[in-house]
Amino acid sequence: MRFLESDTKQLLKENGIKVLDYYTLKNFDNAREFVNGLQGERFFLRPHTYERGKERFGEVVIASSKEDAIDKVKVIVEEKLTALLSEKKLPVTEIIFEEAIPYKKVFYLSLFFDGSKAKTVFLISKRRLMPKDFINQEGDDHIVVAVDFAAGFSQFIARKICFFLDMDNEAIKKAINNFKTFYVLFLKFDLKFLNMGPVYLSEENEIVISGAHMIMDQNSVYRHLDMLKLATDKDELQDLEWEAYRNDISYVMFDGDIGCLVNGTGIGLALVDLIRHKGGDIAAFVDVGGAASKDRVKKALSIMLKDKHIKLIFINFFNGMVKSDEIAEGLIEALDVDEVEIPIVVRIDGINKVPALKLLAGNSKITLFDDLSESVAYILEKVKQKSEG
Amino acid sequence: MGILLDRNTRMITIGLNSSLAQFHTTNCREYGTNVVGAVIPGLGGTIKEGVPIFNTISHAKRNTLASVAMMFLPPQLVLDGILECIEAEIPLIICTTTGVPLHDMLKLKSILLNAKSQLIGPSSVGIITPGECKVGVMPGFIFMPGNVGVVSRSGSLLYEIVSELTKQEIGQSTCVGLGGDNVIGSDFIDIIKLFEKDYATKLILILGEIGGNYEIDVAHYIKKYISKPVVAYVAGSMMPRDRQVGHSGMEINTLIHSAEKKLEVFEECAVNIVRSPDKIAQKVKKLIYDKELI
Repeated sequence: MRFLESDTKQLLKENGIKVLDYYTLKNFDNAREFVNGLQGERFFLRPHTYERGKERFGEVVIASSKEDAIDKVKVIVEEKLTALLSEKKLPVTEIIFEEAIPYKKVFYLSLFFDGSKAKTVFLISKRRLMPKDFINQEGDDHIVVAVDFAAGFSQFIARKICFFLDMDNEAIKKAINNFKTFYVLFLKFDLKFLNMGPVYLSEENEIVISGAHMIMDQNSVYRHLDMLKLATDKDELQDLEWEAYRNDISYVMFDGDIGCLVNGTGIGLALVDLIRHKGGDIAAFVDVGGAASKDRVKKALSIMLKDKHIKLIFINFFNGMVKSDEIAEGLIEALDVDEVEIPIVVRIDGINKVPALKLLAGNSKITLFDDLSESVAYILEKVKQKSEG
Repeated sequence: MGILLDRNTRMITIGLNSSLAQFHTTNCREYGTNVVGAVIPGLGGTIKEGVPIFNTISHAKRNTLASVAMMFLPPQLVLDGILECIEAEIPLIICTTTGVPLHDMLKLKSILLNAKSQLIGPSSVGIITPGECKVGVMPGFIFMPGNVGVVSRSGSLLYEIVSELTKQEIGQSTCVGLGGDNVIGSDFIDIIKLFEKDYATKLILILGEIGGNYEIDVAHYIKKYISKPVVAYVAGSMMPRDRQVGHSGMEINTLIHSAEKKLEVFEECAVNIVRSPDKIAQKVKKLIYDKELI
């Protein structure tokens, strides 16, 4: 579950972390009026936009006066926003104004977990962009400090970070508690990811957060039901994707023509590899998970039948946890209700395979296959025919 | 032979109350696994479908000498259940539950370091030593006894590839489903260490996927410590990078290695890599014949 910058900063503020006050400019034609209404003389300008509901920020621009700020707004809007780790230029929808504070240092700070070591990790970087292979290496401009779960947070962790940032003793004393708070919040809210930056170390030796966002572990939502209303996951999903999401189905749309319905990410990814290696492309990746009930399978197929991008549906189920005949019943129920205009190719294997095949055999809406390579060859041929004819 | 499970394995089921647990417990027994008991708090002393029930895991362990526990608890109870297994010193815990909270797993990982138990999962499909013993939810009939040790993150991918191996008459020593979660009890290294020592295993097949660092870690380990031939496939190399899919912890996708990167590291570490899933069985077969492994 993803949270917006504003909500994340509110949470930090409530927990005693200093956060820069901000004002959002949405109508760029009113820039002059807006800027004149602000307190202060110098500003940090942060270009901001939404890409499929995800927040994107551009580089921070410093304006030294109100006149300068008005000029810079124009420049920012014309130049558009370059998203992090992407070449894409996005139109700026908002500019966040913060009153510039005098600062000694600026840095970027993330907390996440390292799955293979099962530790919480602080990543501190002097640059906005993180190096790609940062986990196993330390560099001049970034440092990784792991926190052992059993030992918990200890002061040396903060000291290690502070000395890396060349803070003086006065600043370190004040910062230790801040770093502890970050770790405590990470645990308390079952976070997967807490990302902050730019973070300023002010002239008064205080850590002040400018940008922040966080992601909560989906599996722990039941412990934080009061936070649910703030989650923004809906915003980044298309309508059908959201309908699927609510039913615990992972539904991701792509630009191709084949819709894949699978019960497990691994097999789904392998199918995509296979289809794309053979020259096809996918329109939707739909994963109901290995423990999916009959109803969830039915729902997933009904949603796919509504998706107009899909030219052919490939259903590939290899069942262990759930019995194949239950899955087959779910598929048939979905097919009975809905109008079917596109070819549907089904491959079903695993526990109770024989009764499942009995149920599906003779259904005129589907084509059954046994072998994976054969079915993929058939699909690609079918799609080709369709696009030609 | 094979690793972790064999004819002498004694299995108990934790949380036999659900119909799913009952179905799979019966299924394991039909495959030949020695099911010696089950734990349902409050029903101790009764017998369900021929299986004696105990109130606590330590009581079950004392009375049955169980060597492996198959866990079917709901995600909120998994932390408690695994802690109880650790206290009872069950040597091997196989957890099939999906959706276990991340921070519960982080906590468990640090406890497991000093425990006498080994955890497989969560969201594992289980382990099978074909022809001898199966503890988990996999369809037993697709497996065949033999000499390839298979370890996979994803369960469904494991079935798909193993069924192809069996069709080509390539048997397996043991197959392990690690589970696709972000934090898992045992990783590739824990398993291939055992395969290296196992007499029946002549070749190791690793099925990885996008997300996490496990594949990178095991690649470096193989280079240093593994003498047996290894074949690796990483699912998701053809996936567009900027979108997240499924359960693979893809959300933090700027912070993880892509499938392509993992394959590169495997190649650098002298592992035989396969890029398309339909070529895996072929590659394994070729290696077996070229090196005269069997």
